[in-house]
Amino acid sequence: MRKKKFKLQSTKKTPTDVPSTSAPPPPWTELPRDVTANILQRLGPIEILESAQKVCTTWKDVCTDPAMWRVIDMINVGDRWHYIRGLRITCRDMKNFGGHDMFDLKIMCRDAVDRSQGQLIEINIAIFGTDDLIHYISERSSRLRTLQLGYCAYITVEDEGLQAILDGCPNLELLDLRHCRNVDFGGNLRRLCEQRIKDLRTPDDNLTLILTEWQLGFIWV
Amino acid sequence: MAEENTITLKSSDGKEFLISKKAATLSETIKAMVEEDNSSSVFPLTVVDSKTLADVITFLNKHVDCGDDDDKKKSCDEEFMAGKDDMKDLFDLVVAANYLDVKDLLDLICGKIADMMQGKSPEWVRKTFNIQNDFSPEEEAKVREEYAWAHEGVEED
Repeated sequence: MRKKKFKLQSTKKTPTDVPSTSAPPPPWTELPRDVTANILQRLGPIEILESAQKVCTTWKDVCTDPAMWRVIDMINVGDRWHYIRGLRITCRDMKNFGGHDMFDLKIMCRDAVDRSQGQLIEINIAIFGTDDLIHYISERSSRLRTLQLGYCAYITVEDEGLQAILDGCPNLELLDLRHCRNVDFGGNLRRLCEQRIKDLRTPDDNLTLILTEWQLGFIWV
Repeated sequence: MAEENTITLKSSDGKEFLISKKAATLSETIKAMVEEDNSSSVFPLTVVDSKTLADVITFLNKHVDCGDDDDKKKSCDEEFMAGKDDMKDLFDLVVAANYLDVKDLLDLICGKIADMMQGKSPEWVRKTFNIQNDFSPEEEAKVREEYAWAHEGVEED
């Protein structure tokens, strides 16, 4: 003890700066709001909705801020591992697989779109997107610039559907339809897209592998 | 001559650190301080303690050495983050990075904190981050109901 005291005096630290074993834990909820947002945003929408927003009222509040939902990446195929968690949800009910997993993602996606309050700029609903969901998004997101639908097996996006997207989202610049095998991308649809979309990725374009065969195996069950 | 290219940063607990201007001005806050007062050579940072400031300076020096090489930066950052898992240290660093406005450092620490939380239940997060559950019983019931399917069978810790 005595030794310690001597050492403290010799370094001329003021008592408040001396690290002590009984120092109070850091007040995480007192972080500036944008720092909290920076942290939580990295978790991705699924994790935010299922977990982070349930921690305390401060975080709940941050998670309802439309600014948090300008970019919604439901699939999270970044280099971070959290998309695996998204995938785990996709595969959650393997035992009684009946589309329930996709259903979960759709509920969360609608919630996320609602939270953006029209500020949505970028969304990725690859794999589980449906025509209904696209319609839901396009009705509520006039600022949307990027719509990613890669590997959506269920969408058809017929002319009317596309017209609705183009009308609802006049700022749309990137439309990714790669590997959407039920989209009949001929004639009129192609023409409309080519006229309006700067960065168009058609169903025939190659999708550089974002998912392994093994992962796709689950999704295509 | 060398003195022109270095400045001294003074931590909240009075310790002085010599650092190159080039490294120091990776911090937007310090850059603004230096631009405003280029006759001074000592800049006090009243909200950053010496332990944290030493860490920040290590980071800034590493980044100056890396230049624009992203691969180098990545491995530097990994090296910098190795063993950084004390909650108090991470907290102090994220506050300092935010105050000093060093975007790369802020993103790095925020990413680390997010990684710690990934896949964890709200209870685990509260315990680890020492956060009080401050929902009223009514709110709590409502919050629990939202996405109640989550964490059935999810790893406990």
